[in-house]
Amino acid sequence: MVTYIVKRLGSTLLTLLLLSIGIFMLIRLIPGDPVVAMLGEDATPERVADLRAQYGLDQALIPQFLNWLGNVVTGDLGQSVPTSRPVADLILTRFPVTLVLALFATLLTIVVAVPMGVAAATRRGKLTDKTVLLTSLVGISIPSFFLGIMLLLLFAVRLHWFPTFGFRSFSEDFFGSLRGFVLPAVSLGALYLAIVARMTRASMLEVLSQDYIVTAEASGLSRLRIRYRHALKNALIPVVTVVGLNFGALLGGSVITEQVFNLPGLGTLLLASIDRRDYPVIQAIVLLISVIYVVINLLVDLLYGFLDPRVRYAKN
Amino acid sequence: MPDKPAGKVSVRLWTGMQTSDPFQDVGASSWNLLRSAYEGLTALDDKLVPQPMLAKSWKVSDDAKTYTFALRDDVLFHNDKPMVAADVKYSLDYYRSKSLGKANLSSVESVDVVDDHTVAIHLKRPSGGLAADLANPIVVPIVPTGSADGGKLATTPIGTGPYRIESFEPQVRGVLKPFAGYKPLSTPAKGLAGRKVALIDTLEFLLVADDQVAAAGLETGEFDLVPRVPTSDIKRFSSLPDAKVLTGPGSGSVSISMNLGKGPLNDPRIRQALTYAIDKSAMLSVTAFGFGRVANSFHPPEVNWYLKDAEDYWPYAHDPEKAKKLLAEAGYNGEPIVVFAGSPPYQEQNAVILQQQAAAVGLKLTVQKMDQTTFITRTANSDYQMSSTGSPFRASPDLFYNQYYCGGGSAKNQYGYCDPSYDAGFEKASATIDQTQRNQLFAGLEKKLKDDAVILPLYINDVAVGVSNKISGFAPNVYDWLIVWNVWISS
Repeated sequence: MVTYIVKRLGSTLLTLLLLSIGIFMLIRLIPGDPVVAMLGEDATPERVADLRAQYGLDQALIPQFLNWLGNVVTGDLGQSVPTSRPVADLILTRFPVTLVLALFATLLTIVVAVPMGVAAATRRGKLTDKTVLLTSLVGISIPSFFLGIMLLLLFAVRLHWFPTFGFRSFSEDFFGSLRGFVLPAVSLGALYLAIVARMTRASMLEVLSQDYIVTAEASGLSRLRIRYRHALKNALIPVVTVVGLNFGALLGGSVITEQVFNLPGLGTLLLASIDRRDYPVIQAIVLLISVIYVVINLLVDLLYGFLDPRVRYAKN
Repeated sequence: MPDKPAGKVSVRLWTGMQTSDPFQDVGASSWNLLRSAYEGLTALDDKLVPQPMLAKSWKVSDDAKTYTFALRDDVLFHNDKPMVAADVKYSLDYYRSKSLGKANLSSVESVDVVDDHTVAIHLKRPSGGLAADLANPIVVPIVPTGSADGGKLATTPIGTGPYRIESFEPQVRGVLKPFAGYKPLSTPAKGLAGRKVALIDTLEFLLVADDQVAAAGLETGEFDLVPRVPTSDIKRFSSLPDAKVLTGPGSGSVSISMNLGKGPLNDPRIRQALTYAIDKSAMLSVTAFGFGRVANSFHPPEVNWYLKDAEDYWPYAHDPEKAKKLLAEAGYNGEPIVVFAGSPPYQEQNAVILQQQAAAVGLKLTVQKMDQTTFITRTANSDYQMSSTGSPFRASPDLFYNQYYCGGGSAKNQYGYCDPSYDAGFEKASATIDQTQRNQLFAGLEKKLKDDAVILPLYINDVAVGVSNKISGFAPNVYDWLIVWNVWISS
């Protein structure tokens, strides 16, 4: 087990290093740099060169990268170029918003999609099943920005049930600000809700057709007991994997939803930073998301091994 | 008008809000917030004539190389300390070395304190435009000595304006509150100059990048002031119960830029052919829904240097036949010319319309859209043939005509235009003090640029600001400056 973890950690670090080099190079390949973005219309070559020197952006690439890497390893993520604010501060203020959004969307998924999937599997072929399948199809097909705008229009603008843009700071009014997360969570979570519902249904169907379930039924155990004590537990194993991995995707993929609902999360920060070519911020966010993805992957792997005795014993 | 500040107003900004440090952000959107907190020696009035603000008067030496400013003695900073000449020298010197906009004061040689309330500014070359440059409309801000060092203004902003910055979260939210120690001038408020009174107790600025989301905020009452309502929404908002959209003539010009340094546009006949092929009113009605004025100049008639016979001069009435003739004369071989468009949608829309109008006379254009920073990088480095663009309004003729100056052949500009007689004319106009003479000389340059088919203005946008009905005293202005002093809430 220990060698396994060590090997995994090693490959993780290598992945992160390659990712960092990759993003470092890629963003510098796009025309423009933070100085041009700051100067905007007044970006004459002379002014750009002058400011570039002021911000130390005129050094060669490899020293710049090694400098950055060295700082990251000691915990210094650098400064945002246009605002000179520490990147760590920026990320710390924005991260809770993205985290809450992702958690909310995941919660919604679990609370709604799993029962949906179970209901569909246990009433296969009937109206419930067909409804669930149709809803999932819609959820998978609708682009999230379209859904977001439609939800905004109906529930915020027409019905006034929710605010138009999602965010008043948490410290001011915690439950009030949560209200602003409902529509974004639904809009962001719709796709994953659909996926998890279908996944649960499929997994449940598979488990229900297994021999040991037939045996349990034959030995007279109540239907409910079979379903929820035996079948569901096993059916949930792949579902846990999907939800776990999706959480990483939600954290990194909330950009569009954050933009539509104007939530000051990591997504909008990343988008704005790319626009402004704010290299330190872009690099830090991509690194953060990569770390989260990789860690979640590792955890889900370990959890999977824990949940499924077959895997656990195979590993040993 | 109420006699005490009251109430809360929420204002939408569309971009910027990077920092509360006025030296490090020169964006138009950010300054809709910053201008209530920071002031300069002078301020532009509604005709863009510089008026006294922190200075009470100024004198210009005969050789136009020294300006002596007499400062007011009743100005307090937001930290309640009085402003003195040393603060002015500090601010100007800091601006010239560290500010993003420092090129605006590139003509300044040195700044001297004459006494506690007098400052002398020495220029490298004679200029009639210094008072206007200090006002910009993005002012050279006056802050207390030492307060800008180390970027401290980003955490402790201190200005002299009628409002002070109470809290600032970059790219999210800024809150301003009235400054009790502010002494309004007695001259009537005109443009950014004159009497400014803070009548709102809490001014909140929120950054909402998406125009549609912002417009929805106006509908629901979450925003009280929304500048830049998209033209596509103006009609829809005329039936709102609690808000309205105020429109008026504006100054944002939309144009086509040409790089004379890249063929085939280095041939004036091809440029002229393009110009004859254009029908500007089509672009105005399609792209801007008619909210604007067709323009033969980058300058709206409201500015003080607008001389009709030059600004309205346009020797190229829509004439496709003439365009075809010129193309044949020039031996145009069908080589496609690439037109860049940046991220704002109107740029691509105009480029596509232009493409069709050009095709009608046999001129082939290809449209290439890109993100804004790439667009700016490539056009600034003269790495383009044509671009469909919008120009930020430049508040003094010097700043505008300077773009086509090539400094005697040493500095190239992004238009690839280098004409010795233009350069000589620009140097002369820039150095003239008498405003009437200056304006005449600049008018001459305007005509030349058009005769040489260097500039191609299309139209000037109207301004459209969404305003909640509870707000009084607010009016949009031609330059789209959001002015929130002398504005109050009436219940």
